[in-house]
Amino acid sequence: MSIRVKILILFTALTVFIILLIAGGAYFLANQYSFTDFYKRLEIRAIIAARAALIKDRDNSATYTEIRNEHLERMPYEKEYFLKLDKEGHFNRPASLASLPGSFFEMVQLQRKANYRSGDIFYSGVVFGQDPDRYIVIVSARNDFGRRYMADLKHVLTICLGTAGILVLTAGFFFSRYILQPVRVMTARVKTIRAHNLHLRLDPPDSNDEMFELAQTFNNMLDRLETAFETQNNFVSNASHELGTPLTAIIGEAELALNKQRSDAEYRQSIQVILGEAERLEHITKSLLRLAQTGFGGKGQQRERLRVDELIFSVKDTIDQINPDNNVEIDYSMLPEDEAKLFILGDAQLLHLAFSNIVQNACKYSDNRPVSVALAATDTNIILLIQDQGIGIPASELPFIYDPFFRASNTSGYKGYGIGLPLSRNIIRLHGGNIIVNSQQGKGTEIRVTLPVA
Amino acid sequence: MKHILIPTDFSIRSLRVVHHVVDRFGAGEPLKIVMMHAMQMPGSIMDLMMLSRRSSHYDLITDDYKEASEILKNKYGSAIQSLKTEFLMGRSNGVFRNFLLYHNIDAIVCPAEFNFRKASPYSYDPAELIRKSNYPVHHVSLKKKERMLVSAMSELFEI
Repeated sequence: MSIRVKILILFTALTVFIILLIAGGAYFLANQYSFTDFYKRLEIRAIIAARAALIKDRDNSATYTEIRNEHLERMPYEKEYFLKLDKEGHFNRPASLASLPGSFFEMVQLQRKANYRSGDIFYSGVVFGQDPDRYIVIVSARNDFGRRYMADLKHVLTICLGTAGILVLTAGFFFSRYILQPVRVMTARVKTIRAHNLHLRLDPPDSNDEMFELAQTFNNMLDRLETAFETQNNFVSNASHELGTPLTAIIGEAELALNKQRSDAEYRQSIQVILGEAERLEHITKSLLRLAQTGFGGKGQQRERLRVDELIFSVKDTIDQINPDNNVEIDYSMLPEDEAKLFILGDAQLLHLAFSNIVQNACKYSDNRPVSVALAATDTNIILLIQDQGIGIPASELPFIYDPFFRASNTSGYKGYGIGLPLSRNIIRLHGGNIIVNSQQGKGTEIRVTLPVA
Repeated sequence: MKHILIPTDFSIRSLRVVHHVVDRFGAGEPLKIVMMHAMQMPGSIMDLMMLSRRSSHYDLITDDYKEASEILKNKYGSAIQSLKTEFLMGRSNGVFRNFLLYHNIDAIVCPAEFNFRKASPYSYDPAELIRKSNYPVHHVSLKKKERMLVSAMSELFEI
């Protein structure tokens, strides 16, 4: 059974039950009230009948008879009985009253009045007069009006219940539809996500409710899935791309050292550089391996406290080695005074990889025009702003820049594989950060990276 | 302690005045900077009644503006003791005078050429009030670096 049917049934059952309860209560109370009302009427009739029939005073008796005849309409099946009581309280019970129980008469004598009901016939009895002329006066009648009234009420309540039931069922139908609308949308969206378009995400609804949380959870799961999937998928390409940079530096340095006879000190320096790059190579291999092994689960990475400005410095050093013509300018104008705001928790190698990818891209696609790397800290985040004056990214292609191997249409003149930016984003996301790319084609690109302060 | 008032339209550009304020007044004593956004009193009676309970004008403060002001506060951590954004409700000289007295303002610093951008239909440029206030007013010119701008945030980085 689908949740929708369950909601419908539950909603209808609950509402109808409540209406039923209210209708039942109303019927019961109305019934009670109409009885009391009728007993009161019978009682008054009994007293007036007693006065008319039993009072010795002629004038008074005549007046009562007159009132009775003129103002009290006879009720259906109205009957009066006068039972004379002797001194001990005994009386003769007429045959027509044989159906009344003894307890009724006892109650009448005890409390001077009592009521009894047998089917549709209602009895009301009072004790009238003083000894020795004491009587029990009993009036009985059928409550036709009350009966009709109750029957009408029952009828109306049944119709109302039926109508309300249908209404609730209809409302419940739309209600359950409405409630489950986001789920249906989500299901449809998730169904379209397959291995080849894992970058798709759900649009979390604007409200801050459970559906939003669900969509968010789905998106987080997709993030993890995507990164894991991509690393598995592209490990070889990632590795060759990332290993390429230090290798280029090593080869360049070695070629430079070999192309003519050099002094000992120069050889030593070259070997130093090669050693440094080889060590970096080793680090990168390890990082990449870790990246692949952990599948971006967050476990197994060594997080340490890092100073972002130092990290950026070492990124600049690396880029200087690879591309001596670069024009990277580090903008420290917004650096916070308090150094504690510059620390983040992260893996130095991975972050180094991410930032050098971004900055290298900036240099590459702007043909070594000035690139500014600005650093600033808010209370919770560190913001890195990397601006270039390069070729930019066409606006229509911005949504795809994180797809592995995607390259914008205006990049044909530049070497690249479309791996750097997706990898950088994965690494930044892994550190709880965020990356936003703003670009204007032909004018430049601005990449804004936020990382949480440690 | 020096209390400085800067009018703002919640653009990052208006925050750049803070650099000059720190340059000029920052030496010696800590600064308390009030960024003031001026809004007219609403015209309708319902809006007036709910004015004290209304918080919708806080939505005018954009995330970029918030981040940028945090960046500035962190940058001048020792010079700026507080940097807060306040709303001036009303358009009369008296209201503005009370606002200045309440915040204990010592000086007002305005950008020299200020292209006021209405952040909301009720916002207005308080230049006229500032001129009439008889407070020391300093105008600073914000130099514009020749650089392409992509996002609003990058404006902050041009001192």
